Amino acid sequence: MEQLLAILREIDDTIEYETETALVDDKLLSSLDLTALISELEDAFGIEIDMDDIVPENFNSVDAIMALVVRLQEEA
Amino acid sequence: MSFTSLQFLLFFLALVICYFAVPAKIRWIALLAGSVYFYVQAGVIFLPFLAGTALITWGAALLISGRNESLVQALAQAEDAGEKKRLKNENKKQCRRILLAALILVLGYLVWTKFAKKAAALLAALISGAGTAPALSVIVPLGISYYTFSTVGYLLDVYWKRYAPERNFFKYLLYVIFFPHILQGPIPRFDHLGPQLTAPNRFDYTRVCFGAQLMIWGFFQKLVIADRIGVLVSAVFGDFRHQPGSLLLAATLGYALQIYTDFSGCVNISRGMSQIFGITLDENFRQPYFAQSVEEFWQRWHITLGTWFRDYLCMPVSVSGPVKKWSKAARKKYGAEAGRNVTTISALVVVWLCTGIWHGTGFNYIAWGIWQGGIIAFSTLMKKPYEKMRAFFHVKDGATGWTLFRIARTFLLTGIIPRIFVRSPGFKASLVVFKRILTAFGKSALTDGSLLALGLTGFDYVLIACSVVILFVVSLLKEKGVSIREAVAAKPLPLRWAFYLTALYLVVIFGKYGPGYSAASFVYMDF
Repeated sequence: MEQLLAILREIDDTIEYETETALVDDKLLSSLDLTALISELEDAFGIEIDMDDIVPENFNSVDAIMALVVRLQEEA
Repeated sequence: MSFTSLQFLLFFLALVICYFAVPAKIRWIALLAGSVYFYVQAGVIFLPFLAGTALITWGAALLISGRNESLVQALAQAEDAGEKKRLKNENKKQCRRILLAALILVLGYLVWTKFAKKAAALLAALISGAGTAPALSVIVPLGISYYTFSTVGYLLDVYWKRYAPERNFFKYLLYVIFFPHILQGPIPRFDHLGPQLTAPNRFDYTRVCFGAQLMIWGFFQKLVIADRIGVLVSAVFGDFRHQPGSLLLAATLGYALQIYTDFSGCVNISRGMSQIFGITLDENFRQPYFAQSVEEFWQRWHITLGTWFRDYLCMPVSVSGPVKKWSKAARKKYGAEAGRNVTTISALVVVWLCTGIWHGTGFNYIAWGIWQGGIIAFSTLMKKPYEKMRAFFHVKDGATGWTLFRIARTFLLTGIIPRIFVRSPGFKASLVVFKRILTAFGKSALTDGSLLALGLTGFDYVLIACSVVILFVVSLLKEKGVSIREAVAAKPLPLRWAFYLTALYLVVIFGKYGPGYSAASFVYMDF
């Protein structure tokens, strides 16, 4: 989780990630932020994120992103 | 049949009466019949192209969905993980083949309509050395860019398992051909629009009033502002080589106003009409000239095109094999930030090149796309140094002066410079316009009466100025979250109707009508 928070803060350090639950829905993360985040997640956790996985529900909160990472690691 | 013609208004009125007269369950059929009638008015020949696109994407989506359902059953019977993986990979390959075949057919025809004549001329020049192209007749169906994008979006959503496909072809056809959005969008999403179109919508007096208000506002934007200022813009750009820079700059500002009021006016008419039927179309504009950055401008201007490119092009490009490879290589050599930037910049290049081509195939449109994408890419790369600089100079975020500076800067970068590229008749012409603005400004042309020799009278200019003030106040109220329509609806009945009738009267009296009372075509209809 700490590693994920560090990645997110590197992309935008003005967001309170621990409490936000609508990062995409409230446009706190832009599409360009998302492309950067996906690239970082793939590299840091050794996963492959497919288009099927790129839906707001998977990126709206830190917990949702972590759940996606764990699922993709298990599937790999 | 233009939205601003009397013929259209009579058609719309008849359709509204029919829609609410038939039983609620079959109202969608009335809407489909009306939409087909509207579409064939532009030419019966266009219908097979639209229906073909609908049939291909509808069929492909059903095939993909069917294969995915079969996969679930096969996985339940599979004995080990290896077998499951093999089945999944095999299914993915088959679905991808269906998707690609459909995309090639549908997008291929769109590309053909945009490039066929240019390609024929190029081929003729290469073969014979002559610059003349053979006669080539290309059928460009009405609204092809819009319906191609809405159908491709639907197919990709089904492919990515975002929702189940529509099994009734005619319900899907209504989503594609729905007449309020076929001319200029907004580009719909099936999961949002599809269920609304076929729902048994009931007559609602308040909703009908709100819809009519939005339509009148759209007509005001189009007929009173856009078509009037368009006279000046056409006169100046039509003779750009001989016009002083001051008039060219004035015409460019006029064009920024014209294209906004023309396009958003049309979308407001579309949204108003839909609202009368009980259907909510997506918002396409959110006070774009209040944007404080180019990126934000594109989140407020032609929103549905921007989100389409974001979801169906930017994201797939950023997770595609080559981009991942380049990103990894950059990360290894230059660090994490470089890796991130490679992904972002690659997606931006593709998206903005395609956005430019979507608007037109001339080099001026490519230059326009490069300009917009270049600024966003530069802003992305400079985000951190820029923040440090702002902190160093103690510039407070949100301070009025700073906000106004950012709005003015964004308007210059989106409303003035790129507009010269696209309004000039070609790339070389746009360079001439830039040169004349910078070297032959001739400010006296603004006061010596030259403005009155461009097709508009002094009264027209006063009317434009008053309309711009109204537009600004309405935009400001919307920006502050005030719902003008609700405020009007809360007034007593006589006052409310006096307001509606005055607004309608102003549009009828002050609308700029062309020869034979046929208003100018909508600018974005050509895309």
